Amino acid sequence: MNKNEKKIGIYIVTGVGLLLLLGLQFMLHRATPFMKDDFWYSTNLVTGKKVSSPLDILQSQIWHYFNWGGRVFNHAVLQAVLATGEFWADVLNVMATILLGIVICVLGKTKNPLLFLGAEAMLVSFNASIHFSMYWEAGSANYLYSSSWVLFYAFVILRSLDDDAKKLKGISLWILPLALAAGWSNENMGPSCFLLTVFVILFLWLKKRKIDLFLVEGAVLTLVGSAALILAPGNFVRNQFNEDLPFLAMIKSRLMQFIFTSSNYLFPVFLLSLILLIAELTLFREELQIRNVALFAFACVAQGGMILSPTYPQRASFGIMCALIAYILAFLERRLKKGGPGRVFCLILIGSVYLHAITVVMTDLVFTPF
Amino acid sequence: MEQFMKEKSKLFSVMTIAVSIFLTVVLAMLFLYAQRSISKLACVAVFAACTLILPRKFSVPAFFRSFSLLLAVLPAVSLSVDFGSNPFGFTDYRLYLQIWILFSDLLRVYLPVFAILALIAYAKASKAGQGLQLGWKRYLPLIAAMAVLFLVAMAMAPLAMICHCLFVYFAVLILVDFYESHVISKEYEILSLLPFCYLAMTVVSRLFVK
Repeated sequence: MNKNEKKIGIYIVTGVGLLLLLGLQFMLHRATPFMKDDFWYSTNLVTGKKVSSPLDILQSQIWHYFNWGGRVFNHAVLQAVLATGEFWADVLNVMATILLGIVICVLGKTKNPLLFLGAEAMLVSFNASIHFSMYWEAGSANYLYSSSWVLFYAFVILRSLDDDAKKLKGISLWILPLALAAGWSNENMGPSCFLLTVFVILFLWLKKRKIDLFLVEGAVLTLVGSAALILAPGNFVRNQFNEDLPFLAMIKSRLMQFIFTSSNYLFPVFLLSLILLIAELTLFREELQIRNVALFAFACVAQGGMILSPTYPQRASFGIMCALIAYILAFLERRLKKGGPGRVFCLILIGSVYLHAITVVMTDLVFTPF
Repeated sequence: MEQFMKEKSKLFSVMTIAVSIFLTVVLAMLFLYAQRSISKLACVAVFAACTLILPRKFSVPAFFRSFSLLLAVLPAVSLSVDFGSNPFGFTDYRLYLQIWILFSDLLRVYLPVFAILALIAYAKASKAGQGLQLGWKRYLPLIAAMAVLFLVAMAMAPLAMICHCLFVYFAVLILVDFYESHVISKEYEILSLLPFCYLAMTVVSRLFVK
């Protein structure tokens, strides 16, 4: 079998695999109706009437910002998706899943279609709460959709650490809305984007390399976005309903929450990533790239940031999981390029995760909880 | 220089053993505190020690690694579905789907971990200018036993729980043997305790956080 035939074979296998996985996911989307907060967000939050125009969304999100919470970007997307109706919302969700898989591969610096299939499979297989992060509309807007622009922002920033990266056209302009959206996404991913940008700037400064304008813009706008998100008046209204604990009890509660979520919600993706990090720091030192270590650290900081949150639902680990998947893919890409028996083990990994993802989706279709 | 490297290696070795002893004792005491059962602890310890027979690696760090791994997977083995009184009839495909889900951690955890360890082992062998002799044949009896356990579980649902327990244990045997034989190295043994510290954290969280 020559190289071209092998390539075509890979594309066929990936295509069939994706069709099956995404097809089953679409069926599961169809089986998951709008529920809980979806009904409320389907309406203009001020007038109570069904959303029928972008002005309704704008009016709703201004009200939302001052009365219920700061995630206006995510909820604006949510309202737009809900307004399309159940069928088109499901179609958009599948497209968002594909887009996220592409962004994860871009962040992992791979163009291999098999690794794209692996990314799509890992999104299901390693997910702590697949229903509330990908199928429930309110959850998918906050996690599935927002992770795309957050991780794309991380890619743009980490790219500066590569020696051979060419400047992206017009980046000084389009980084502005991207950075603002990334900072304004979630309470842990937003500030993590800011810290990632600061780290990259500091690293370049210490190495006496050029610091491009877009990095400074990114740092400022992610900080502005994060501050706007966290300091939204609506958050304080909502937090009234949280239980007030004595200080020591609160510290204990947050610590136990952090330990529990790190070792349960992020299992096994964090374990796999940690093994790879150790391998990179010891066996593969000559291949060690600061961007990959920074990516792993980005995920850890995002997880660490959750210690400041009074609650940590399973779905909140979604963005962290995506960053770790990108880290794993970056490692697999380098092993695949080396060739040899390493390829077989990559295939075993992707194949087993894929089969598990199919199991998960089929199980949910059979034992539909809704 | 050579003397310095030798002393450094000795120091790291001692540190690894000391850290392993400390972590093993802490983990054992936490388990004892939560479960209040010396027999359960002794049972896990014996099973952990048995996993070291295949690779013939009887060291404190190896014991800690196996101990933390077993304690981490054990809760996954305690099942919430009672197949003795299953709600689905034996001709209902949903019963077999549930049994399959029970075993599907093989695909989500054990195989991916094995694949990554194999990648690392292969790269390590390549760097040393050697081909990797994985020694598949020594795992064949265990793999065959795992396949039989799965088929027995499918055929006899009330036995699914015990079959799953043994299935997981055999998977752990393979992982431990592979890791101790092909992956771990004295040079970075102390650093490689980190993933097992993570597994220990998993154990602690499951024991104390409801």
